[in-house]
Amino acid sequence: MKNNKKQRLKYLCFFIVFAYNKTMHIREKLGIDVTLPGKAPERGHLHPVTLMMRDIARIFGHMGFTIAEGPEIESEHYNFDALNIPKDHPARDMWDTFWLKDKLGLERLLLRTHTSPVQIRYMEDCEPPIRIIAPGKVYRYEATDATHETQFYQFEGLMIGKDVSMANLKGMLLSFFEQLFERPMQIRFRPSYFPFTEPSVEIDIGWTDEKGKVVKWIEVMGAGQVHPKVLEAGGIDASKWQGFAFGGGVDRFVVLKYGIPDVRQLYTGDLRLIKQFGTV
Amino acid sequence: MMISYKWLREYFDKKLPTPEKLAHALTFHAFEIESIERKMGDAVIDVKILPNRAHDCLSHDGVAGEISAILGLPLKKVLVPQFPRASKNVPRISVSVKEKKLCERYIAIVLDGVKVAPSPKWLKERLEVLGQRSVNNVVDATNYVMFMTGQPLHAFDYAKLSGGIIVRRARDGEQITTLDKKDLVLKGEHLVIADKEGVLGIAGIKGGVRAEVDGATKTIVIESANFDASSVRMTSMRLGIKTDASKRFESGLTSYLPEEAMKKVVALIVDIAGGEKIQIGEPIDIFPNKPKAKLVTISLSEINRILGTALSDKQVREVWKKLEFVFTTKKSNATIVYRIIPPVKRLDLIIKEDLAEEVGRMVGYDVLVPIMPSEQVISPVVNAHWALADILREVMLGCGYSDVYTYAFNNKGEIEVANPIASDKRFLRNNLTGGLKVALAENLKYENEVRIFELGHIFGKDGGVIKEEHSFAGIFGFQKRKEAQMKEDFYVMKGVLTRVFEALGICDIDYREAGGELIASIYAKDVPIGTMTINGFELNFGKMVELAEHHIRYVAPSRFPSMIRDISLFIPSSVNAGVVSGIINAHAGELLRSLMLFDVFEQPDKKSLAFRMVLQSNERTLSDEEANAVYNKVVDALRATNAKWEVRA
Repeated sequence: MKNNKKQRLKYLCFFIVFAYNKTMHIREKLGIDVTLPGKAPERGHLHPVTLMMRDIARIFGHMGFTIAEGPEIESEHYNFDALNIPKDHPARDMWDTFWLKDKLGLERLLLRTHTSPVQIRYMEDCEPPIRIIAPGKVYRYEATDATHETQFYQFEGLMIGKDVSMANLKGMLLSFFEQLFERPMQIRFRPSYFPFTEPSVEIDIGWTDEKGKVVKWIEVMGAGQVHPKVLEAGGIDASKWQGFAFGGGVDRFVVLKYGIPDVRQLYTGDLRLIKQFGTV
Repeated sequence: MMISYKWLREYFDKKLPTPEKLAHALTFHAFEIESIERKMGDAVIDVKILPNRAHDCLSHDGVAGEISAILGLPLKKVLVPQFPRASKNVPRISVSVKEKKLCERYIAIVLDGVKVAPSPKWLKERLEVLGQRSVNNVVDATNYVMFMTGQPLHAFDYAKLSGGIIVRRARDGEQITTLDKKDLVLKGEHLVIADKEGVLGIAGIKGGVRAEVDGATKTIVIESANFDASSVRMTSMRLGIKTDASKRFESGLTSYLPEEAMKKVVALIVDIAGGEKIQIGEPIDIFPNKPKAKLVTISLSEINRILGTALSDKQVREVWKKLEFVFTTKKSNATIVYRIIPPVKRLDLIIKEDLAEEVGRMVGYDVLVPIMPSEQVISPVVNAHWALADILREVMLGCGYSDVYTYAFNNKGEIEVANPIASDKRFLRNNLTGGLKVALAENLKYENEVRIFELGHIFGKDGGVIKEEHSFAGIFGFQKRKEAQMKEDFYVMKGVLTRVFEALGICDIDYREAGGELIASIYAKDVPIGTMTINGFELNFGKMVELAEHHIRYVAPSRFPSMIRDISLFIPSSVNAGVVSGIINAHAGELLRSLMLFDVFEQPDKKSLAFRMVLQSNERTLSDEEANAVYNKVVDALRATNAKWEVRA
């Protein structure tokens, strides 16, 4: 009996030593240094503008917004007239425009100065209720500097329903900013003017400290309740439906989130910038 | 609009808060503030007046009115001076308005015995602090009253006029030399102020030198008029002249303003350029169609529905009172309806939403509580472009390619910009490859090997019609590369595209030989979708999205064993492997489950290919004979194709 136990123990020890030796053996045999770096095929990197547009689309997607798109070459109608910016109106000066030599019939063509034409195009095609987010490239005829480019990315939001108010605009955007910057924030509205919204506001976001006090306010967007003329231009009965629209610069959020000092660096294809961003 | 703090103080009996506090109040209830500059013992506040309020707030009167409403500070009661008694000895002037639609009102008045001289010190200072140059007391008085009321005014030298004043359209080719000595040729679309002899000034924009007030001027005619906003804007844009006057007229001033401004300027000129001999003529006022006050209606529930607030009747009434709106209220369906007659100067209040904005900004938007909409959430619709672009980016990243954005402007292309930002940026890009090549060269200054891709819009023409396409292009390069490796690099890139097509669900891909700089044209289901060069590709992403299929139809694997037959052959280097595999596919019959090229060996004049055929039936276990029969049939077909092909059987 005693002997038997001894025997068993002996076998067990032998087995453990054997198993141990076996693994030692392979690593040693192959001379593997587990502290050497691993090898994987090199992955490419995503552009920060792509990352930001993805974040925007994802967050609004969770809030029920569909991604909508439109062309970059637009007609005067969609870029201006349908948005309540008539010809010979000083409001046109708010957008410095690249015009094309070509025309569409009699209508002048241009490079869209904002993503707002997507609002009209979508309203023409779809019945309310509407929730869309439209990221895309826009163009401005202006001198370039660290904060201005002739081409950049914007995102437009539009929400139309029976009872969609400015307080809802504030609620939606606050939620968006908190998700985007992954921290508690504050938001405030200031009176402004855009021909396609009434009332119109500028939106500032506030970075808060631990106590919830705002350290710094930053102007980030324009927004407001969709002007009845714009709803009508999109074929929607303004006496039955109302809602808000907002628009902001994707590049501006890239600059804010990642601290890139010069927006012009975003469009040179410089991998020294891009490779600092994610590979997924 | 530059606003003098010192000047603002004169509007109020009570002490004004500091310029910073005023700026804060304006920022959250009316206008953005660009800057506050302290100079000459004053503070100049640059208030950004947007087009909706340019008609009443490009003036100290307007901004003072806003401050009064926001802060609840009453404005000093100031009586508008009345016209002094008219003298019969003053020379008369006639006014004829030919274009009543473009000139709603025209007031002219003659002042005789004016002493043109430098302005008094206070006036010079007041203009200087606003960044304005002092000219003489008469011209300065008209400018000063414009910065006060927002109404542009003009003074002519009466002695230089030939007959009465005519407001008419210019004749094509008519000329004028403006006050700043520019010679302009006018057109019939331009509205002008003229006399018998010709044009005196461009209506609402700029005066001419002919009737300029100078040191010798004794008698002046002052114009205070209302010109059509669109007409002034159009003329100002076409002629490329923007003035303080045109900026105000193009925003649509009220035709009630010219009278008040005229009374103020006459009183001022009498005061500072009068002397004892000054005499004033009878004012001529051509104002045939007086615009009627507009009524705008909104209910309390509508205000709260638009803003998302729970404001009370009392709070709303408070706003109307602050803004000096004349209003009546009516109870209707458990709400209160406000019928409002806005002040004549507030031309921007037309629809109920305009009134909701007045409430919102006066109460302050901080009153809005951020709340999520109560509306039912609808599931978003998947945007195929975006979904596939995400997949595509994932594949490209996995293959070592980075995502870049390049410029849309180029020095060549098919679509030309009418107002390019630079001469080498006159066109819109008609491919992405051009921009990628530049970016590749730049990046190779810092890296040994570079792989980049871009997704973006390109612009071209198809039969004269503009076409905008969504394009997808990639490029790779090395600082140093032996030519022998280039071929292998090309196949690696082709492999990347294979992965892309697989991931997007694009089938029936066909690579056809192409010439020049191109290596191959790519087809999917016989539709051309792009091209490849030795180190890059460009594909029509829009077409790829159309061709992408995501329906998976499961096919059960055969329960019977498969058999393998390998075929190897030598073919001349000039023959493509695709030709060989095509023949095998065509002759192997329905038992061929898959065909794989598993070995390629190239010699200078010929290449060896080895294919593996997997043969299988869904109904039975194949016999050796059946497999051999397929094999023999294929070998015969290959031999029959070309006698030079050496099939090693």
